[in-house]
Amino acid sequence: MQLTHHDDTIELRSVTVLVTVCVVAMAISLIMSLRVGDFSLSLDQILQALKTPNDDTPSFVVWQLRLPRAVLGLMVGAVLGMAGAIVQSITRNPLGSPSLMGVTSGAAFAIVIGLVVFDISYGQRLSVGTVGGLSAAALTFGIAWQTRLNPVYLTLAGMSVALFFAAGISVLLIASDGEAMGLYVWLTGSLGDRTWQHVGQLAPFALLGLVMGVSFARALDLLMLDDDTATSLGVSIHRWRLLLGMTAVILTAATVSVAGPISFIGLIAPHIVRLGLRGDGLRGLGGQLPHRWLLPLSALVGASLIGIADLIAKVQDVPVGIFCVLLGGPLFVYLIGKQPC
Amino acid sequence: MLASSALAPQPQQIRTVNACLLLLLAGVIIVSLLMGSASLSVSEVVQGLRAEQAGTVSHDVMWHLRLPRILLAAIVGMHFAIAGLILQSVIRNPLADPGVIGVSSGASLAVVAFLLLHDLLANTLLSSEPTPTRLEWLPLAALLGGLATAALVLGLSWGSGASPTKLALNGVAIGAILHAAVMWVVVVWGAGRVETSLIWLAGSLYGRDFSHLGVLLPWSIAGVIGLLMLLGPLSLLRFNDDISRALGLNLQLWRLCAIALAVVFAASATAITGPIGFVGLVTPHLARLLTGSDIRYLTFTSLLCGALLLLIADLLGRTLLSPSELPAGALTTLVGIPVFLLLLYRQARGTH
Amino acid sequence: MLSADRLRLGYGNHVVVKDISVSIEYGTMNCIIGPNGCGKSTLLRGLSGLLAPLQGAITLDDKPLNAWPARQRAQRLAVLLQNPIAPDGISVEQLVQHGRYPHQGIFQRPRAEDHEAVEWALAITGMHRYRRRPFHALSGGERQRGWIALALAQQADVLLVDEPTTFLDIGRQLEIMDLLRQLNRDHGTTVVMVLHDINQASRYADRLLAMQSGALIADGAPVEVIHPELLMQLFDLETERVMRDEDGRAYPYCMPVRAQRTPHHHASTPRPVAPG
Repeated sequence: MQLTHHDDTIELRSVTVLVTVCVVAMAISLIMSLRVGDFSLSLDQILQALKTPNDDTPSFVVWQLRLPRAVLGLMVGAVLGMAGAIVQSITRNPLGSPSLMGVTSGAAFAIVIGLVVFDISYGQRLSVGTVGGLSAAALTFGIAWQTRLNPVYLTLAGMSVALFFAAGISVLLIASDGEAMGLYVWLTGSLGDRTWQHVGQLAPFALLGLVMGVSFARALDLLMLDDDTATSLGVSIHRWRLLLGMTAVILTAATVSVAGPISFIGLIAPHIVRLGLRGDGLRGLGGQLPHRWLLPLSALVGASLIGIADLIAKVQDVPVGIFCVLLGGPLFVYLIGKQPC
Repeated sequence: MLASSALAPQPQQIRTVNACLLLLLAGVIIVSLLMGSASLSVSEVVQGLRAEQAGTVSHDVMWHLRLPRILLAAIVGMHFAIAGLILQSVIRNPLADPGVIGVSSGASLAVVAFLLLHDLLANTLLSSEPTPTRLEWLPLAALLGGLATAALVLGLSWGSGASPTKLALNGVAIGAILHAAVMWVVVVWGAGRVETSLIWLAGSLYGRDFSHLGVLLPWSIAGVIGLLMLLGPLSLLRFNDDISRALGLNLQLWRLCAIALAVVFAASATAITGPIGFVGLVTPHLARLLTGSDIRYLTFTSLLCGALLLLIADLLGRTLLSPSELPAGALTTLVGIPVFLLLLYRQARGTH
Repeated sequence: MLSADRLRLGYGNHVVVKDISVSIEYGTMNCIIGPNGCGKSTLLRGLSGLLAPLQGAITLDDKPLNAWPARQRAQRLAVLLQNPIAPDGISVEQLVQHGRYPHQGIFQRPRAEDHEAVEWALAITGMHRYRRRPFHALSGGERQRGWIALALAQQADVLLVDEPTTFLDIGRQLEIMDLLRQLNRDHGTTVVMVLHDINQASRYADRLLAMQSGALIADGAPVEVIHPELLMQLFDLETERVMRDEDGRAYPYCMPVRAQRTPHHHASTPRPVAPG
C-alpha cells in the first residue's frame, strides 16, 4: 500500500537552497572555530595542520583542542534536531521538543545525582541520563494526558518539570559541598574542553539516529494521521510511539551526557526546515512534509545552528546553551502565539 | 476550587485559623532565632538580644545576622504572597504568580544590568576606587524591569482571549529567555560579580542585614497602603468583566492599578533577595483553603502564610546542610512546582 | 425612565442594533423577544450601559447614560448577563455582598443598611438557607437565584436580565420567572429581560419588544403583539394561538404546529443524506 506523499509540493530548488545555506553556515562555523581562540591561527596554518598532523603547536591546537569541539557541536546539533522532529511528530505538537518535555533537565538531574551520590563513571552517564529523561517524560505526559496532549498544556507541564529538576540540581550541587561546582558550566550546556573521546561516545548515537530516521520515516508519516485512521491502516500506533519516543529520549540523553542540557535546538530546527521548504511551514504541524525529508534536514539545520551558536559562545567564552535559548526562545514565543488555546 | 467543604468558614473559625497561624509564626521565629550555623544556647540568644550586650559574639549574631534576616524573610514572603494573590485575582488565573508571568526574571535582568552598569561607570568614569553599590536604587531598577516584562507577557497573551494556560506558558517562555540573557550578561561582563550574581539569582536571604530591610520597608508600607485602597475593586475584579462593570467598577483603571501594585510588591522583593519562586503561587491557594474567598480574610491570611512559608524555607535552607546553605528560592521552587503541576492537572481535568 | 433614541449598537464595523428608539417606564415588566442573532442581547447590553452606542443616545432620567458616574449608574441599574463567572471558593453570602459595591466607598466598611440589603436579597430569593455554601457547589437554578440576589443587593430601580432561564429545567424556570414578577409587583422593580420562550414572555411581561435583524418590529402588550403572523415572521413557525387566563389576566399562548423554513434562510429542502 502506497500512501500519497506530497513530494511534488516540495520544490527541489528550495531544498537545494536550504541545504546550501546549511552547508555554508557549517563550513564557516567550522573554519572560524578552528581559527579563533586563545591562540589565533591563520588559514594557512590550519590547512597545513590538517594535511600533515605533527607535534607542532598549531597541529595540536587544531587536532586536539578545536576540531573535536567543532565536530562534537555539529553532531550534538544534528542529534537534537532529529530528536526534536521525532517528538513533534509523535505528539503531533508543534511545540514539542525534548527540552520542553522536561527530558533534557530530567536527564541532567539524574546524571548529577549519579555523580554526586553514586560517583558514576563517565560511561555510565548515558544510561543514568536515559532513565532520568524517561521519568521526566512520563511525568509530563501523565499530567497532560487528559487534554489529549494539548500542545499548550503539554509544554507548560514539560517546562515546569524542567524547572523543578533545575531547582533540584542546584540544591544537589550546593549539598555536594562545592566538589561538584565544576558541573556548573556543563549544566548550562557547554562544548568547551571536549576531546575525541566525547566525539567517540556520541558518534554511535548520531549514527543510530540517522539510521532510525531513514528506516522509520514511513512509520512517522503514518503516525501523523489521526489515531483511528492510522490504526485502521494496520499501524500499531502505541507501539510505534513508544519506540520512537524512547529513541528520542536516548538520543537526547546522549547529547546531555556529553554536552549538558541544550534547549530549543530540537524545537526550532524542524520549524526552520518547514519554513525553508514552504512559506507556511510554521503554521502546520508539518504533516504534509514526508519524514524522509524532515528528519535529515532537521539534523542538518540543527548542526548548523549549534555551529553558529558555539562560534559566538567560543568568542565570548560563554556556554553555548545560553545562546541556544536566546536564539530559540523568541521563535518559541511566536509558536505559542499560533496555538489555539 | 480548593475549598469544596460543605460550608464556607465562619468569621469565628477564620479568626481561630489566623490565631493559630500567628502562633505558628511566633514559634517559627523563635526557632529561627535559636538555630543557625553558630550554635548558641538559649540563654546566649536571650542575652544577645539585649542591647547592653553590644560587642559580644551572641549580640552580633543576633543583631547582624539572624534578626534582620528573619524580619526580611517574613516581609519578602508577604510581598510575594500579596503579588500572587493580586495577580491570581486580576488575571482570574489560578496559575498566576510573579515568577510564572515573568516579572521576577524581568526584575532580575534589570537588577543585574544595573549592578554591572554601576560597576562599569564607577570604575571607568569616576575613579579607580570602588564605590559601594547604592542599594536603594535596586528596587527601582527591578520595578522597571518587572513592569516591562509584565507588559510584554500580558500583551502577548491578552489577544488570545487570555487563556490561563497560554498566559502561563508565555510567562515561562519569556522567563527562560530572560534567564538566559541574565546568565549571558553575568558571564560575559560580570567578571567580578559572577559568584554573587549566581547566588542572588537562586533567590537567597544569605548575608542580608538591616540596610536591606531599610531599603525594602518603604516599598512595603507604600504597597500595603495601595493594597488597602485596592481591596474593594480587587474583590470585584475576580468576577467576569460584565459583572464588575455592571456594578460600576472602572475596569481598565483598577485592573492596571492592581497589576502595577503586584509588580511593585514582587519587583521590590526581588531586588533584595533575588527571585523566590512559587511563594506567590502557593500562598493564595493555601489561604483560600483555610479561610475561603472573602478578600479581606484572604489577604490577611495570605500575608501570614507567605511570611510563614519563606521563614520555614529559609530556616530549612540554613539548617539542613549546615554549615553550607541552600538558597530559599530553590527550596520554595521544589515545593511550589508540584503544587503548580497539581493545579495544572486539575485545570486539564476541568477543561477536557 | 430609561430611553433609547435612534440607538445604533455594534462591535467595530459590525452593526447589530439599527436605530431603535424605545422608552422603558418605571414599574413595568418588559421583555425583548426575537430569533437568535436578532440583536436582543446587544440591545440589553446597550441599555445597561456596558456597550457604548455607535450612534444615538441612551438616557436615564433625561441624562445620557454615559454621563452618569459608573457607581451612581450601578445604583440605578442592575444587570445580569449570561454566563457570569464567580471567583473560586466564594460563598453565597460573599457573592451577594459584592452587590453593595456601588453604595460603598473604597474605604467604607459595610454599614447597617448594607447588611440589611444583603439579608433582604438573600431572603427574597430564598438563598438565605445556602448563605454559607460554596457558590460553585450549588445547582444551576440555585446559582441563577444567587446571581439575581447579587443584582438585588444593588437595590437598583431597574433590573436588566439576559435569558435568566437558560439551562434550567422547567420547574426552576418558573421559579425564576415568579421571583422576577414578585419583585416587580411587590417592590416596584422595573424589569427588562431577554427571553427565548415566547409563552413565558407573554405570560409574565406587561410589554413585549419584538426584534428582527437589529430592528424593532413590534412593541406592545402581549395581547397585541403575539400573533401567528408575527411568529411566522420571526421564527418561520406555524402556530396556533389560544387565550389563557391567570388571576383574571388574559394572555395569548401559542402552540407550535410546524416549522416552515423559507428558501432564503437555508437550503433546507429535505433531502436524504447518505450515512457516513
